[in-house]
Amino acid sequence: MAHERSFQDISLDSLVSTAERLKREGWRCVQMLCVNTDNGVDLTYSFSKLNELANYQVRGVTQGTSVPSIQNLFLGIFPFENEAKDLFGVDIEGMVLDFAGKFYAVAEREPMTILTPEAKERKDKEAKKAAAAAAKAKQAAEGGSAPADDLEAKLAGMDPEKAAKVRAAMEAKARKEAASSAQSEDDIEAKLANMDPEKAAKVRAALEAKKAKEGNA
Amino acid sequence: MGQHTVIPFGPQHPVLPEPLHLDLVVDDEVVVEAIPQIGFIHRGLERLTQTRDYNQFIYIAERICGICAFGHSLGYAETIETLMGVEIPKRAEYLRVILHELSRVHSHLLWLGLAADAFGYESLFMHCWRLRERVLDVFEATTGGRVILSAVLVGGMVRDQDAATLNMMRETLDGIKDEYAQLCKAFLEDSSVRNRLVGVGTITTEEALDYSMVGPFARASNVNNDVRMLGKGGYADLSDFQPILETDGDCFARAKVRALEVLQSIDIINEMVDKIPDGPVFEEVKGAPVAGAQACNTLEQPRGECYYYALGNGTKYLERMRMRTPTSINLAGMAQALKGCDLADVNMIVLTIDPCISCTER
Repeated sequence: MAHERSFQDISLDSLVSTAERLKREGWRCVQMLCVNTDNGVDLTYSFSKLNELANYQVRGVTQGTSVPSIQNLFLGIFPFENEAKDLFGVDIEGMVLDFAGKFYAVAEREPMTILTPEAKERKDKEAKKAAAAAAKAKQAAEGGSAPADDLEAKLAGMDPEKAAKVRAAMEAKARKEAASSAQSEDDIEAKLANMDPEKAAKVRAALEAKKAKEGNA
Repeated sequence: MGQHTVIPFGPQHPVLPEPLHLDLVVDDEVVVEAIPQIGFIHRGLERLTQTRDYNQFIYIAERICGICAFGHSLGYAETIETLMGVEIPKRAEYLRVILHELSRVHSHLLWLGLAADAFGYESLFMHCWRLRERVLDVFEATTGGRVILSAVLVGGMVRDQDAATLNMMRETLDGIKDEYAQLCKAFLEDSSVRNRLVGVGTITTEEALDYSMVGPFARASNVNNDVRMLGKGGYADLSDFQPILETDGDCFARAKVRALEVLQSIDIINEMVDKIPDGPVFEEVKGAPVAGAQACNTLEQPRGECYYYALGNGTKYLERMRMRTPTSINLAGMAQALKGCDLADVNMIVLTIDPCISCTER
């Protein structure tokens, strides 16, 4: 018997009618969970019957929106509805067993809506990465621009102090690369001096041709 | 009609290994209503996904509960494997079933001991826990831990077990089975046990369905919702699996389901040991769950069905991890079982639900 699992979005208005239908059809309530998002709290109600596990999701419940309780249909859900109230601040209306925000002894209000500093930093970084990728895609769609212009545009949008640091780091990198290139030319000259003159002339010609080609590119 | 009185039961009570509080509304010696309350040991484990990546979180998952530690790490790993579309080696699936069923044996022996202690059968309690010690010894020999096993990884198992270890496991269980058969006889046939449990805290099949009950608590009321029937992982290769069901729905039926499940679990382990295929036990999982990807999973823990949910956000840190444990969905059924019971029976009824509050609160 294969386990069939499904996720389906429903509106807040149809939550009670969906629960009533499932109750009539002999489903049992498995659980309710909340996910904190930028658009509010997403609620997932899970029901099971034989080998089926159906998850109904109500998206973006904002502060001040009342969610009807389904405890009168499935009393077993009372710990999860009270948990949603205590940990996520979801306003559940009409609970049969309502602990009035005192179901869990928590040190801070609605703790699951608070991000830790590490998580916030990670989220900001991901958002910046996504924004940069979107900007790059937009530029590519519009015909593209020179990398230097792209970099300058990025630096212009940055915190000035951070931008100055990035500029200094890039200048140092350029200087290092130039020094390394000069060193490399000296090494080649030393090697050519020890070579057979005919062979050295051929290598010199090849190097100059390569340089000219790179310059044209 | 007498005056109603409210008697507080717990959070500290001799019969409760964990803090559960009940407001018992009584009329003389009869319980009219029971209002459960938890919330004393909420640890916020689900929030730790913010600071632990999906590989590290398995060690948090198995610390949800000391009794179902292996089951929680297994349920979590299976959910992440579903989320990331990973298939694990067949040998790992078998090893997971073996250790999970062994956990069920140890959990049920622990519960049977506690139940015997609660109804005053001290020697039965000691024998149950003596046998349980031998199961813990097997855990120690195979994983290095007696309670927190840390044997599961996302992608398989931490280590393989050689043929000699599997044989040792089988021999130990055969020895336990013989001794346990005698204890089982005491549980199921002794008049002092029956006098204390038969007809107490009865839940009908309709009530069990109505309150969405799970595990042995539901199966004692003839509700067939054992997740192992779905044949996930190694369970798919069992020659025959029939959940143990009882129809009476009372405390004795709940004890009987658990008592018989010990023998059933030993048979499952023996079959898995016989059939276990050769091969690797771990497949490395690379990358991170896709942003917005979600997966859910259920697992039959010793106390009943456990539900797991994971939501990815494109990083190695999960956006959300949810673990719904069996006791949390059984609380409403427990309150129903207490309605109309004698005050002296409250402890037995609460115990036959096998409540695990640290699981429930996480």
